Amino acid sequence: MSILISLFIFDISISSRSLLGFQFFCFQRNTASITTMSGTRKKALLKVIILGDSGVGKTSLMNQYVNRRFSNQYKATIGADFLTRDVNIDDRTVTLQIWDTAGQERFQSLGVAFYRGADCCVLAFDVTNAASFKSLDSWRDEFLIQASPRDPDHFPFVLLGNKVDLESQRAVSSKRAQSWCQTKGNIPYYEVSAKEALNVEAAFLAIARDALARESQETNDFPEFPDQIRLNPNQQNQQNSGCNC
Amino acid sequence: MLPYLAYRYVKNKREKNQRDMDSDLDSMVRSIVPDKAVISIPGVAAKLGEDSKEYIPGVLSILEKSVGVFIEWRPSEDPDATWVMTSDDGNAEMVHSRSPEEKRDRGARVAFSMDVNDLSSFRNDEPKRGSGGFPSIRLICRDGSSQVPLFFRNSSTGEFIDRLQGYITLRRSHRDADLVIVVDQKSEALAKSVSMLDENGDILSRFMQNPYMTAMTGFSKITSFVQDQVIPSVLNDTDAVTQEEKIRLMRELRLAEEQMRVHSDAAGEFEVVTQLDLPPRPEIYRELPVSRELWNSFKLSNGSIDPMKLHHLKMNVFRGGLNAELRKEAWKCLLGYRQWHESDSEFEKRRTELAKQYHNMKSQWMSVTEDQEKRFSKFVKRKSLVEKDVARTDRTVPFFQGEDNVNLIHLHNVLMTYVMYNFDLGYVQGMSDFASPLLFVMKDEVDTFWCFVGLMEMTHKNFEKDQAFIKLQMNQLRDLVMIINPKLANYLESEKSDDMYFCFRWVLVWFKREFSFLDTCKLWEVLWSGQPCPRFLLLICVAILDSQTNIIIDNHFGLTEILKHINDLSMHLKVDEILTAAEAIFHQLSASQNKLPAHICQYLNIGESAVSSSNNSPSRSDPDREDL
Repeated sequence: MSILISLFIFDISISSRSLLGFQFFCFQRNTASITTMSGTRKKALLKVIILGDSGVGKTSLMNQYVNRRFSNQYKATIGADFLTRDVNIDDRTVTLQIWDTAGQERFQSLGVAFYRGADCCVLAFDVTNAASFKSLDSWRDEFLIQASPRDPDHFPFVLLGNKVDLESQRAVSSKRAQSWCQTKGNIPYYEVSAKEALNVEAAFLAIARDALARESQETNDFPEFPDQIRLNPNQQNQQNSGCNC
Repeated sequence: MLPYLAYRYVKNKREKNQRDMDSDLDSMVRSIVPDKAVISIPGVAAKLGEDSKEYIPGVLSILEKSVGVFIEWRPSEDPDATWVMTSDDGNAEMVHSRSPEEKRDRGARVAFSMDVNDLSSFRNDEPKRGSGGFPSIRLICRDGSSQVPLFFRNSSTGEFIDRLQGYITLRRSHRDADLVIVVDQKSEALAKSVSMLDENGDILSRFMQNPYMTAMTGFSKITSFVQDQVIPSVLNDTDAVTQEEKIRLMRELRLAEEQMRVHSDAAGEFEVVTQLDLPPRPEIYRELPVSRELWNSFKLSNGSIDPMKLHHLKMNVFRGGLNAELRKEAWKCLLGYRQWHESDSEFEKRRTELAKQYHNMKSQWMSVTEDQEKRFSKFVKRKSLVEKDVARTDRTVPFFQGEDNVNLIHLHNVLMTYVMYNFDLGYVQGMSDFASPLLFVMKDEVDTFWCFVGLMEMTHKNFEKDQAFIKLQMNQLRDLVMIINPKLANYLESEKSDDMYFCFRWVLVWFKREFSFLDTCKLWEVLWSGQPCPRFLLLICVAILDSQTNIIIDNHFGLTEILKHINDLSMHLKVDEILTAAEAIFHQLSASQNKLPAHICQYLNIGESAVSSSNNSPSRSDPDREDL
C-alpha cells in the first residue's frame, strides 16, 4: 500500500498557521502521518498532465472522462485548470487530478509550478492531423525539461490518439503511432474519441493503474518511511527548505 | 439512518480487520441498503452566471448512502417547472424561451453530488434587507472548486445548515460572517496541542526562519514596511494568537527591529521607510453609461472631439462605460482607429484608404495556393491555429451560434489578415477572444480589423514569445497586493503562489473569460479610456483578489486550490462592484503616493513622475513603451 500524500490531506485547519509559517510545515508532517495511521482520509492522489498541440482535444478528453460529457463549444484553454475524479482500483480509492493545459508552446513555461510532481503525462494528438503527431517529440522533451521528474527515462507517459470517430479523415495510422511509442520505451497507446466516449474511460483507468503500480514499486526506494508513506519529493524539499524544526 | 449506520459498520470493520473483506462488504451493503434522504429542500434554484438572471429550479438534499453522506443538487424533474428570471427589484419573471432539451442540458451541467467530507467551506449570503432577493449558498470544495450558487427561494438556509452539522462541524469565519468553514476536529485538536507546546518555545527565532521574512529582510528598503504592515496585519488575525502572545511577540519584534537597524546601518544600505498607512477606501459609485447625447456634446461642429473636453469625456467613459448603441462609434476612437482630433470628413477619407490597405492584405493570404502552402510552413501553422480557434470562440453567444455562421468567416478573415499585417507575431491563442467583441460591435470586417490593430497595440506584448511582459505584470501585481493586502501577499508567498500565475488568464485576455460577453464589453471600454491610470487592469486584479482573501486563507488553499478557486470565479463576478473597488484602491494609492515605492508610482503614473496622459491615445500613454 503506497500512498502519495495528497494536497487534500493538508486541509487541516490550523489556527496559528497564518501567523507562523514554520508551524504550518511542522503540522503538515504530523498530520500527514496521523491521518494515514488512523486511516480516515487515505485517498491517493495521482496527478496527470495532458499535453499536446492546440485543438487535439485535451479539454474534451478531460471533460469526457470526468463529467462524461462532450461539447463542441469548449473554448481554447488559457492558462491551466484541472478536474478531479475518484476511481476505485483494486479496492483503493484514487483521486485522479487531471490537468488541462494550453496548446501553444509559449504559454507552457508559466505553468511549470503546476506540472511539478506529476505522476503521469498524457500526450495527446489528433489522428486526423499529422502535424499534431509530429509535435509529440517536442511535447515529451518539453515536459521532461520543465517538470524535471526524478527518473526521466522511466517516467510514465501515455499516448492518446483522439478523434478516431473521424476515421475517413485519418492521417496517422495506428501502426505509425504504435511504432513511435516503441521507440520511446514502450509507451502505452490508446485510440480514443472524446466525442463518442470511445475508449476514454479505459485509457484513463489504465493511466491510473500504471501510475499507481509505479508508486508501489517506488515505495521500496524510500526505506526511511517504514509505514510506506511517500511524500512527494518536491513537497518534501519545499518543507525542508522552510523549516528546521 | 440505516444506510449511514451500515456504512459506519463497514468502516469500523475496515479499520479493525484486514482489508480483504472490504470489497465484499462494500458491495453487499451497496446492494442491500437504499439511499436515504435526510432532508430534501425543493425550490432551491441554481444561478448559472452572475449577469444572467436565470435560475434553474431544483432540489437540494442531504443523502445518506452506503458509501457516505452526500450533498446533492438536482434540477427539478418537472419539465414544466418555470425558469425564473429575477429582476433587481426582486420581481420574478418567467422564462419561456428555453426548450425542454435546453433546460435539461443546462440543468444537468450544474447538477452535483458531493461527499460531505469534500466540503471545505461555503458562502452563505443573506439578501440585503428590503432588496427582495433570496438567501444563497455557494459550496466550496477541498480541491478549491466551487459549486454553482444555490438560491433558497422558499425557505431559509437554516434547516440545511442545521442538518449538515449532524455530520460535520461548522463555524463562521472570524473575519467574514458570510463564510462558514468546515472544522476538522482532529486537526483542530492537534493545532491546539501544538500551539500549547509553542507557549514555551522561542517564537521569535522561528518567526525569523520564515522564508518570507528572510527574503524580505534582503530588501532592506522595505524591511520596515514589512514590519509595520505585514506583521501587524498578520497579528490582527484573531484566530491566530492569544492576546498575551501577541503582546510578547510585538515586544520581541521591536527588539529585533532595533538590532536589524543597527546591523543594516553598518552595511550602509538601510533606508527607513515611513509606515504605509493607507487611507480608508472611499465609497465610489458607478455612473450611468455615456449616452449619444452626452457623447455628441463633446464634439466640435466638424465632428472631432473638443480637445479641451477630451479628458472629461474619457473620465465619463471610465465612470459609466458606454451605451450599447454608441459603441460602434466610440470604440473606434478609444482604440485609436479614429483619432480624437479627426473631423468626420478627415476620418472618412482615411477610412477609405485603410479599407484599401485591408483588402490588399486580405488578398495576400487569400491568394496563397495549396501548392504554395507545401513550402510555406510558417503560414500554414498560423492558418491552422486561426481556423481551430475561430471554430471555438464565443460559440454560445447568439452572434456566433450555429453551423455556417457568416460571422465566423468574418472573424477568420480579420485574424488571417492580421497575420499578414504582423506576420512575426502571427496568431497567438487569446487573440480571437479580443477580436470577437469587436466584430460583434462593428459588424464590419474592415472596421473590426483596424479596431483590432488598435487593441493589439495595447495588448500585443501579452502574446510575445518570451512572455516577459506577462511576467512583468505578474510581478507588478504582486507588488500591489503587498501594499493593499499584505496579509494575502504573505499567505500567497507561504503557499508558493506568489508568482501570481493563477491570474494569468485575467491578464492575458483582459478578463474576457471571467465575465459574460456584454460585461466584458463594459469592462474593456472602461480600460480603454486609459483612466484614471495606466495598468488599471492590475488594480482590478487586486480588487478581486482582495475580495477573495478570507475564502483563500480560511480554506487553507494551497497552490492548486488557489488556481481552481480563481478559475471558478469565472462568470460569478459582479463587474460594477469590482470596478468600484478597483477605483477605490486607486484613490487609496494615489493619496499615499509619496510613500509608495517609486517603481509602483512609475507604472501607475502617479505622484511626481506622473505626466498628463489625457491627450494621448491609450497606446501612446502606455508606460511600457519605455519599460521594455
